[in-house]
Amino acid sequence: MKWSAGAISKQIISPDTNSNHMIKHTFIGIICLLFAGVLMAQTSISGKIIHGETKRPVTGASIQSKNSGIVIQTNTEGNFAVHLMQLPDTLYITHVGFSAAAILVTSASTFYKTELFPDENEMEQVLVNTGYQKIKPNEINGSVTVIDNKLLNQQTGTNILQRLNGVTNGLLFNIGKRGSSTSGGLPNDISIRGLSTINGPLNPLIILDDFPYEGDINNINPDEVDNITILKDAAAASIWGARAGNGVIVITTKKGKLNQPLKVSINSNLIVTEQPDPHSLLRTQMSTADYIEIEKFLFSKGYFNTAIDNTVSRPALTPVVLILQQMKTGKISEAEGNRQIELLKTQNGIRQFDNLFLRDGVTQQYSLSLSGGSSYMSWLLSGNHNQVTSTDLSTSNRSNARFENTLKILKNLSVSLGGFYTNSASKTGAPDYITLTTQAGRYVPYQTFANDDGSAIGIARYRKEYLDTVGNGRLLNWLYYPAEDFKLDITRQHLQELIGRATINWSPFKGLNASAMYQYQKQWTSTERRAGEESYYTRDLVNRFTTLGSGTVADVYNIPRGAIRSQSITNLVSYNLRGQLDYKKNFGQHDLSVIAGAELRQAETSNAGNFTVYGYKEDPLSMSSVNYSTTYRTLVDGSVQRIPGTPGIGSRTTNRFVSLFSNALYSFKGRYHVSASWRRDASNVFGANTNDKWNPLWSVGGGWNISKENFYHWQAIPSIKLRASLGYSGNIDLRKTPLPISVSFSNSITNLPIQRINELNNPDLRWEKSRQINIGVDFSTKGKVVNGSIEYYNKKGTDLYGNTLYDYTTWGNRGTLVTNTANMRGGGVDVNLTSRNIIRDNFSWHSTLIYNYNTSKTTRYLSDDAKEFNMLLDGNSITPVVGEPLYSITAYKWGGLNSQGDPQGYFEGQLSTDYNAIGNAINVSGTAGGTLVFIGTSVPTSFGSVINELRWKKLTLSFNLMYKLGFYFRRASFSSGDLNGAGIGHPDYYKRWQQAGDELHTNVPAYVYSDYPQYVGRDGFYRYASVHALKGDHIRFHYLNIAYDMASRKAKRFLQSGQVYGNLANLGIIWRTNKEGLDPDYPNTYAPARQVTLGFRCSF
Amino acid sequence: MKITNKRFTPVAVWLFAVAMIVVSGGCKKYLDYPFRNNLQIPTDLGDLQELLDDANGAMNDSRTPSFVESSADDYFCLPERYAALNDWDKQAYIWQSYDYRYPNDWSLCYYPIYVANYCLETSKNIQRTSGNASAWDHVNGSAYFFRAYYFLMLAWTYAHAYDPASAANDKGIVLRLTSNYNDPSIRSSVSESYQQIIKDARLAAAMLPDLPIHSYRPSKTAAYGLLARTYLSMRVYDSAWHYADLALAIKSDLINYNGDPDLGTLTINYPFKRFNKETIFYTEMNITGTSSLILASRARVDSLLMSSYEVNDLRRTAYFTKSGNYYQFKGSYTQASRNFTGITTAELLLIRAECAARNGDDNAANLDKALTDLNGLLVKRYRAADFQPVTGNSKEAIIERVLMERRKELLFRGLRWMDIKRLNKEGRNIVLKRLLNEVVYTLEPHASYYALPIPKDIIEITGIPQN
Repeated sequence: MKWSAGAISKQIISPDTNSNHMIKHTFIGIICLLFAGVLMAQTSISGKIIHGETKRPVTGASIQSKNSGIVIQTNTEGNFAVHLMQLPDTLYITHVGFSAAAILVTSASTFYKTELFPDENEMEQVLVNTGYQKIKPNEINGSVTVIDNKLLNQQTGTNILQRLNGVTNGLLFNIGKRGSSTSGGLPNDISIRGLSTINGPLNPLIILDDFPYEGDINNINPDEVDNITILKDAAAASIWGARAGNGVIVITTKKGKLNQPLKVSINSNLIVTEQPDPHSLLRTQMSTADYIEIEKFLFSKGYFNTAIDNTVSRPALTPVVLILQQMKTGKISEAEGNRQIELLKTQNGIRQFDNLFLRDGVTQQYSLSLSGGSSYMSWLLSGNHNQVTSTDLSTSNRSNARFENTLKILKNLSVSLGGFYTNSASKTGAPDYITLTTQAGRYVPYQTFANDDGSAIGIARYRKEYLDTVGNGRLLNWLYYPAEDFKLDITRQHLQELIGRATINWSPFKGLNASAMYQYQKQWTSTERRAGEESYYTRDLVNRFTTLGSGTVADVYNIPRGAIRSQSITNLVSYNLRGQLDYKKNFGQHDLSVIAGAELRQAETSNAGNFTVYGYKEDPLSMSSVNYSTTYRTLVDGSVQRIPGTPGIGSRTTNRFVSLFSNALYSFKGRYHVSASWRRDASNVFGANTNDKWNPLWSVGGGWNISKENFYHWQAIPSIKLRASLGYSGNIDLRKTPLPISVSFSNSITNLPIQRINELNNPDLRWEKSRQINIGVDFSTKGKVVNGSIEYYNKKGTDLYGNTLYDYTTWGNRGTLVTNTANMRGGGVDVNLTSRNIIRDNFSWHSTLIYNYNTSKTTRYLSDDAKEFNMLLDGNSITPVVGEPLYSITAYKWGGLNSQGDPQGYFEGQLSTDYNAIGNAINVSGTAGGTLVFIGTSVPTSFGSVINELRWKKLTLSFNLMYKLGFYFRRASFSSGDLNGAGIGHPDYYKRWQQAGDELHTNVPAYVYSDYPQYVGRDGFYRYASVHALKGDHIRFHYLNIAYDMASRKAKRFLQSGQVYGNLANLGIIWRTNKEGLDPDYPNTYAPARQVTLGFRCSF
Repeated sequence: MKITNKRFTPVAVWLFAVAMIVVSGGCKKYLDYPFRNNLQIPTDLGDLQELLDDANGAMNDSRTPSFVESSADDYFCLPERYAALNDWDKQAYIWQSYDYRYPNDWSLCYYPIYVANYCLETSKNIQRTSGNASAWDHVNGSAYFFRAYYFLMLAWTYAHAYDPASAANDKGIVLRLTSNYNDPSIRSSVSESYQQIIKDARLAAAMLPDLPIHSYRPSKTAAYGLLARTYLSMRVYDSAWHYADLALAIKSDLINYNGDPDLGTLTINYPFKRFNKETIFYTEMNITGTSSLILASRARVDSLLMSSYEVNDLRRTAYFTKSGNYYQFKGSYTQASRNFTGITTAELLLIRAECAARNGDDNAANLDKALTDLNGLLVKRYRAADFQPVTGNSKEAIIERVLMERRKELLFRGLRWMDIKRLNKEGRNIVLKRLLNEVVYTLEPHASYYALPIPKDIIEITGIPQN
């Protein structure tokens, strides 16, 4: 009890306030009680562990007593103190990257100072967790990247996956990129080593503590995560089978350890996110006066006549058009109208928008974790809470609680239980600038939201004259008040998730371990919209469903007054059951490790339906009923409608998988490693017969530790290992089926049950396959000054899903059919280098360089030479064209402006302004015809980052520069169609051709009205012309992190580690090739806002 | 090692056995669990009926061609509206061929044909018994009806009008009679196309009940109406009269525009009740393709046509609303801006009147029949107070008047294009004109464009000849 008592006495004499030390006192007391059984009368031994070469203290070395088995760790000063039951005893000292050492302890009064020497033959000795087994890094023949806790903590925020950005070799965040048109254009957020499919699913498989994670990734608190392993090649990923084609991200949470004293960790931080600046939006860079002049011009051309003459749906008109129409019909005088318009020209909604709808975002995070362990059990308890207020005033909060417990029942039998609970809630905030300034389908920059006295300004969403007269005041106010409405019409989301798991490990004899694991997960999400009685949504609906009476007939309100509440609930339930045998045996120079197992898995997503309640009141709780089955003639356009919100029944989707898997590792003399893995997956998706459901996947790998050979004597590189692997992984798109499947529901008009065939029978559909080859070398120079790995890989996808044009006379419901029609090839190089540039007592400097090269291209699509050029112009979705990158930009060849200010392209080798002919030519002759030019890939071919870590005494500074090279992006420009049709402007408007001769110094065409003969084609041509494809190369200052270590000599007894840290993130681009100053990742929208974080973490 | 093996074996056998049970026996059942709870493979008569009842998604709504209406002459486009159209609509408006692709009228019409073929094929494997006879007949009759209905729509759109002199050689439509997508598409002749339509429609008439439970569903009356439409467009007027007469014998309700439960105030938007008593079979024109040309908010009613409505014609108020200096249409039986294209009693009455008049040469009683039908309709359309029945004894004059009433009654229902085609076959010499920015575009009576261009991608994939 000696050190505990010492710590307490120190607290008592410290100048802390009474209440503070009372809490601490109590706390320590509890700890003492908890460990009363463990801490008995003992002898105290102290010492220090230092580095054999640098003589610097070694932090975190494990010291285990031979007699009692108790384990402690050295602190930041390398010091340790241990309580031994009896003397003599032996202390075993181990630390990652060092050779083990032992101290014979004979006397309590000696200070045991011991040196540890680095083990040159051991690479990182952190075990790599694949989700099925933990393997020593040097036995891995595949490609894996481990991101440890320290690296994860260099970034802040609430999303764990975001912390992989910029620090993970081979992983790219694909900003703004989507899948192909066939895959539904789903976002392709994270890609590991590029693509392996064209139309299949794109995102990597995420594993949380050994099982696939189906819930919301935001449920995982980054503070709980111990490390993340990225399985990149087939040898690493194929054990995960059919869904591992895009790589696997294995998230491992922190666990308690056996024989570990109580550890309390606290982390808390505050993140401030800068509010976005609407001035950075391109449309705001055209002056209000110019927008109004355009509206006046369009009005004079009769552009708004269709809307003005429309007395059926009575569309709204923008304020300027309304004034112009009043002037035309003589309702107001010329002079008055012009005065009003001039007044509008001086208005600008941005400043008000800033004040009313934007704030700096604030995120608060708190987490607390307790862990410990005795010789027969280990445990961990943790909880945390997040509170976020976003820049758009939306809020969210999340709380987690987790426990892990492992009990050694017998020497060879242990049971683990774990539970994880998440509760989060979010609430919508203000609409964005573009939504708010869009009126009658046009951008209205002069729209303001509040009067000088602060009262909200109302906007008519139908024709003003109609709203002024309809119902003679018997209807509710029909104006929309943007400044107030978002506070009245709120959508809340509430999410709860529970994960429970149990594992039994039985080791009947040394080497064999049998385990059974079960996990149950349930996520419940409720989305509730509550449109208050005063909200526009409610008032508009009530008004439209009012049947106005006349004479003696009274008005009928078919929708009762009061709020409208609609709710939908989705549930996700999954279970996994896994049985696995692990066998490990050493036969002299032979090492064998085999695992084999079977797995059952079901994930079910169900929608519990949705229901809407009208006339909702909270206090007292009440509602009114409406008639959903009757049709009513609505006001405004007289159309006949039902009241929205008919109760819907739910649906469910169930994915079932059965898998068998096996993996074997064999090493000879620790020099030669061979591995193989095999897996078969079956799912309930592919209907017809069970044989077709099975999909066998396999991989083999080999490794050679050259540096362990007797002939190897290269002193400069004392450690080198070669490895190679080959394997197949699969891809399954859960939405595709070979059967003529119909969906059942009922016709809302006839109430008859109906079915609809949504997919044509497609019996030849098979699994996609991806083959990957990986060759790598791991090395380390003398003294580990530089160590790292260089890997080459090659991916080949076959039987990939592709959209096939077919004779839709057959069916007509789709223009294309999905078949296994495409092949692709990808490849690249991953380089990871870490160097210890300077190591001194008070100063050190480490650098990490990540370099990735990746390309991918389509090798077959439909037929060997098929091209879908018409879809190629975008660059943000996967477009398969044989021989070209999957994401690429193609553009119309630019021929400058002609003397009338019209953009010119090429048709049959000649300059042309026949845009329809140009547009058609690309489908016929592609890039061969000279009309279209291939620009290049739109995803970076080279990317990575440089991380530097500088330490001076207790201060550590790390910063990350990310680079993306070798790609193109498309910039937007001025478009007459956008300006006329939707009022969307662009600063290029001021560079437009205005008079003959301008074509010599500008590329921006003349502004034209829609009577231009090929108005749509002209705009389309210019938008996709090659002048707008810019090189995207850039370097970004990703983050800067400063940490100060608080664990001082004074506090060491109590504080194991402590840190105050600050972080700056998204610091912007520091170098780019484009001269326009555009951010190639976000050319048309806000770039991620700068963030400042302040926080502290400590454990004791 | 021996001990090791002994201990190893039972565990391995145990786990292996569990794995095998899971994989072989239980596994099949486990994996046969449906992926979604509302998905199935349609196999029995109930399933097939449900497919045919999918009115919104496949069989009735947003289904019939819009290209025929946008090519016809009941409307025009204001210059500022024209300027804002996309290039394809601009070309279609002035009858210039343009490459267009999926989705379109072609794909929309062949989808219900697929459903019909699937139902006919699948029900072949179901024994017709006394127990399921009515369900079996209903499925098959409906399938035949839908197939004939959409074949006729396609024939009106993509083939020239039926001409007995050349029908065997004129290019008709693709008669798709199976659901197998490996079967090639081949264009039949106009003659074969109409023969197939008549064959299917007659089978449908034989199997379907007199009246449906809902006008989304086909019926015997609808099948007779379909045959009347078919024969009218073939100019086989005696058969057209016969089938119109058969249909009207079952159902002949008319809405009285002077006041009726199926009618709101005439001045409001969309005064007609949807699925009203005149509707024998309900379909709507599609809202893709060229439909943006004929959207009620954009299309203006032809001024000459507009002026042909007399002041006491209630349709003037019920059908139209003033928009600027012109009129837009609001009289659709969809009770919305979408165009109704189904079969009504009024249409059949006009068919019977026209055919009676045309058969009036040798029998003056036929002219009386024509006038009776015509006046029977008009009395419900004109103001009751001052309605003057149509009289006369000149066959030509009566035909002229019936045709005029036909145009006034059935505008924006996808029928005008077919009428122009068939009437030009008998030398009425209808020349279509569009005036645009002081340029006049015309479409001559026998222009090849009357068989509208087939989608470009269909031509490319199937190799069938373009019109």
